[in-house]
Amino acid sequence: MNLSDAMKTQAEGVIDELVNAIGDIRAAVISTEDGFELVSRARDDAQASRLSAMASSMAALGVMAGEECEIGGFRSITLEADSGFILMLQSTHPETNLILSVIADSQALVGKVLLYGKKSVARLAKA
Amino acid sequence: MEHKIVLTGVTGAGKTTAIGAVSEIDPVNTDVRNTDAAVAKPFTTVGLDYGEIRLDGGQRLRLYGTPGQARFEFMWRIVSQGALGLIILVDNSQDAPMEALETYLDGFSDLIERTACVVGIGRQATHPEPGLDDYANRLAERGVLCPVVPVDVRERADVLMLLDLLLTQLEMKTGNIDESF
Repeated sequence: MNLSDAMKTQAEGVIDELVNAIGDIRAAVISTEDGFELVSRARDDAQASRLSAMASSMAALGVMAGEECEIGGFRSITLEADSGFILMLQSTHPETNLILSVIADSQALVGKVLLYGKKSVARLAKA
Repeated sequence: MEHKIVLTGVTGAGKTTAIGAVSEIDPVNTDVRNTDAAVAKPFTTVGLDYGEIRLDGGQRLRLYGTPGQARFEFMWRIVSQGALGLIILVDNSQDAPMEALETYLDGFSDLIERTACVVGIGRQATHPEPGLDDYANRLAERGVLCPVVPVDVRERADVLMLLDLLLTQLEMKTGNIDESF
């Protein structure tokens, strides 16, 4: 990857702050829009890498669906599953667009994750 | 009749270009900026490409392009569902094109077994090796019966030829595609 160290360092700071603020989450990953993991806080590194590629595809489909329905640019996807949820948020960054994915158990509060997730992407955009 | 056809192959072989060359609707594409220094191109497909074409016989083909990179292997499986055939694009100007072909023969083995397949070799005029016979031999060794042809994916006629070969291949395999699907 030809991304700067500064970008990665900044992402490390953002993801640590996010994980501390939310508390109990399964994983958080910041990846490039073309599907590479930039930084992650996960119990399983392989999962973070695969999730980065999936987040990339889902966000790209989100962009297309948003355009098709004429509702503007893509911001986030919430995926609700039996025992948890995944929140994927689009972040602009001066170097390349990024996607923040947060995986949480169903006991976690979606609103809280969304709030801190949005704060995180706002910080990434201000790099 | 509607048929779903999948285009796959190495990153940079021209899957998005091929669909754009023949689609009669504005193609849907999910290209984003490429950050991978190992791949020399500004944009890359991360979700899927989609285009449509109507053939003379009234058949409508829905064309789906996959991402090329193996990290998107889950999209290969998603896009393969319900597909009627596969086109694999190879770029002879890249390193190890034969190995690249094998990646997709493995990744799409279920679809190839179930339906039909055509292999298009790009940039063969400037990069003649491996030759068409080399590819045909490798396919035969693997027990895959499949035409191999040179192709310029920017040319509508070339992409139509690939689709035509694929449909012919299907008819041979199934007897009559309209009845079997």
